[in-house]
Amino acid sequence: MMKTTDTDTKATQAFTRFVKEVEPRLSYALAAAYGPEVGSDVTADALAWAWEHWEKVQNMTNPSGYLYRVGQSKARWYHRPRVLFPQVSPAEVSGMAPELPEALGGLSKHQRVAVVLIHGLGYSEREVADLLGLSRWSVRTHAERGLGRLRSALGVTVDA
Amino acid sequence: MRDVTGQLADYFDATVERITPEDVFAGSDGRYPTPRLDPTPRHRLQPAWVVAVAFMTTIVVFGGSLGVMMMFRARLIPASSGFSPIAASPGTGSDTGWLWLVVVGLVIALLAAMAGLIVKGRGTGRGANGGSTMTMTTDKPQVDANVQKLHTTNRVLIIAVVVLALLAIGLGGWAIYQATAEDQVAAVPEDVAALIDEWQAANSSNDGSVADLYAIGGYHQAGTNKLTGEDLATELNLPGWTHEWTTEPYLIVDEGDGRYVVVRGLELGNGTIVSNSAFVFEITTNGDGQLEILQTNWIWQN
Repeated sequence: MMKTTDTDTKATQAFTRFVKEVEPRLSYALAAAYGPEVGSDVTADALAWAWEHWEKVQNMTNPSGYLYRVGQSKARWYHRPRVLFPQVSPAEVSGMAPELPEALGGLSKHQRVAVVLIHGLGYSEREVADLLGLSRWSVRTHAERGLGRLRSALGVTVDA
Repeated sequence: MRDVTGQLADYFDATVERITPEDVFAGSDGRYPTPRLDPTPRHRLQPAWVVAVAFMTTIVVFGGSLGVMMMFRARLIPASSGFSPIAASPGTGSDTGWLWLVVVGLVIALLAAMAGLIVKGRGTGRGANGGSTMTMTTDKPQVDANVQKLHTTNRVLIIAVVVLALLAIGLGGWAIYQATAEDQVAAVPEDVAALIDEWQAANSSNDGSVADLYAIGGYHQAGTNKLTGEDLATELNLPGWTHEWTTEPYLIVDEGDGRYVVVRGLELGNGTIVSNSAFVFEITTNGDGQLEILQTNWIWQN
């Protein structure tokens, strides 16, 4: 009995560390892919799945990439909101262009994930490539094109 | 204006609801997540909708196909295409088209209902209100009520699936019987077939003996005239005309009371004119148990 409890405690601790490491990237990636509302729900579903299959997940070489695909599968069961990226009030986000949510909706899914994770949140191309199951060069291309389109849509110019 | 990168970070920080390990643990029972409740129910795939849409789609698609097939068939077989053997089994052929439609619709609806049950079963893991959230509600009475509602819904769906299955099986069996019965012809009893052969032989002998095969009061209907005795024999075997059976006898009526109605294809000719026709026998059983012809009727093109 003690042994079982001890094992459970270790698993709980290991999973807690795992969530703290993986969850931010997964949350933002799935939110970028499916919008904040569905993205949050499917992140919760994917992590619940990970806990349910923890023995399998902890031995994976790329668990975040696997859970991203679990999230993609879960997202199929959700009704997509008409507006993928809702407006936020200026009080919540100051200095944000009101066109940003709509402009995000105009990008492809890979472009959104790449540009949000790399340019918005500072993740490396390698981390994003692992998550999406793409090559670094593909991720870089998606990120650059996505950023260019966003800047173009928002009328933002960057000094060289 | 700020560059896009900073705006993106702020936007997603403000809109993305983060998940903590505690959220995951709170939503799981041991290693298996329990239903989580969503305070803002989301539209989800409902099994009843799936069934209704699948059934209606099937009806429309198959009904349209059936209509097109019938139109083509009507073009290919003009009404004046000539003689064709009589279909002996009533209630078959195109009459069963609608039946197949309903059977196929029911089967697809059944499959859709089963899919709906699976969907509903999966939905159990997402919350009884049809969605999930990282905000865990642990109000026990509310959970019980929603789970109970889910169980009731599942029970109704299971009953619906069983009823649909029984309907599909029953209608399918009936449709198969009807379809296969299309080519089956009820066997003419041997004594009835023998009487018809005897009638043919007597008629060919041209000696008037054919009238003896008729019951008292029996007759041959020729237009509006009921012919008996010698008139009957003369009418049936006019000199110079030949008679050849073109089909086997088909039993139309046999209600078990000794009365039979049999029809048989007949070719009538005189060397220059050939007429395809049908000959109808109404045969009855007299008090001695003997078969007699009550009436005959020759349906041919004048």
